[in-house]
Amino acid sequence: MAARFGPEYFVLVVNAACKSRDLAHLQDRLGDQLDISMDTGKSLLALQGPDSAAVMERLGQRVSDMGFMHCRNMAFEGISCRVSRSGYTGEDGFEISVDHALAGKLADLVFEDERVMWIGLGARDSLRLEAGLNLYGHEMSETTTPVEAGLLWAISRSRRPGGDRGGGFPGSGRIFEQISQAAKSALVGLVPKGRAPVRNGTVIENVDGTPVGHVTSGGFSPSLEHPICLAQIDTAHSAAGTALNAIVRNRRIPATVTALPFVEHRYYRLRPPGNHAA
Amino acid sequence: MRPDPLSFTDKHRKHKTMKTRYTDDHEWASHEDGDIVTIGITDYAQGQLGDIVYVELPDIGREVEKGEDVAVIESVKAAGEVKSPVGGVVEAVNEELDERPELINESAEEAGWVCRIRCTSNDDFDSLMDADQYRSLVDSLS
Repeated sequence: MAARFGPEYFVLVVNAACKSRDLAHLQDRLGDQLDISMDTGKSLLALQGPDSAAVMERLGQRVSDMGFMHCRNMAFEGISCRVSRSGYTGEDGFEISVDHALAGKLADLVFEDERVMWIGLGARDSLRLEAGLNLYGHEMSETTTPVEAGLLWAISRSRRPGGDRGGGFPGSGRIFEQISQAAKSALVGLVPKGRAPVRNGTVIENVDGTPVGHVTSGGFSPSLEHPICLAQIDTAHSAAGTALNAIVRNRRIPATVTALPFVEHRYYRLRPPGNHAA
Repeated sequence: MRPDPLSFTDKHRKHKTMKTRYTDDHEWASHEDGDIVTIGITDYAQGQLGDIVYVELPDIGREVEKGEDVAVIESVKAAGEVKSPVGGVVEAVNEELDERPELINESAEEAGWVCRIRCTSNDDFDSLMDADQYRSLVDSLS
């Protein structure tokens, strides 16, 4: 995630497992134009869910003018924080970056509201899966393109083929080829029949018994009360409604390709989608 | 009227011989009568798995070795194999788990039993941990 806090001041939150490689890459490509440093002194608290804005208001923060993915500096009873209206649950929410030494004090303050509870990574993972959001190491790796990972939305029109500043970024050759000729495989949603969770790594076959892909993340959706999966499937079989089979412990479980997300996102937007200036 | 001597003896014997043993994999096995052993996972194991959403039960009549996977219990978090504490033949399965897998969360060591096995030998059962040994194992994990 990248935020711009000044004309030439950017703050990135990167995947913890990739931070050293990301920093080296930034230094390599931009080190002569920008001062780049890693801030290892911050903790991140994620306050997520439909009531999160009301909790922020009770803590004295005005957030009604803060849209999804907006960032700003805030102070909670003198504790300075950098806050973004974001998260990885598909729900409205806030991610609060704070000095390690003050994180406990801030958590205590937030927990004074009886609506706030801790959740574990298992709950976070089922929420992100319901929201159809990618996880590094599952839906994406260093060799996955944004087209294959369903992340084409992250490349603005001006950087795409024919755009004002089209191309010229790492991987743009392969990405442009996939935009014009369609990638070999695509990331799709799958809903298996029955209640057995179909997990990461499961082979997916077409109805003739030919392997056509694999599950990248799978589990049981507590909101929908049935299993759901993200899967990388050959483009010829990736249309919504396609009937496929998941091979679980040598048994075939029917599974249908489904549009993403499984559960609608409930991000807080200041303007209706489509009304943004280009 | 004289009580039926047979049913009295059966009840008495069942009460006298019913015992429960445990594996270090957190299964329980209850020797009820004759060579039938009922198996399931312990309350500690269900707590570790979290919300259970699906149980894959074995086919009746299937032969299993001691330690072989006999069922799979899937929770929101993970899949856990149930290793049979005894060798034998699957005699019955808890079909209620098809509709209500959460029975294992609610009552792992009673209503949430998984299957009944007709043992080939009593030695398998006799070599399992007793309740005190299992309790010390769980205490050492927390």
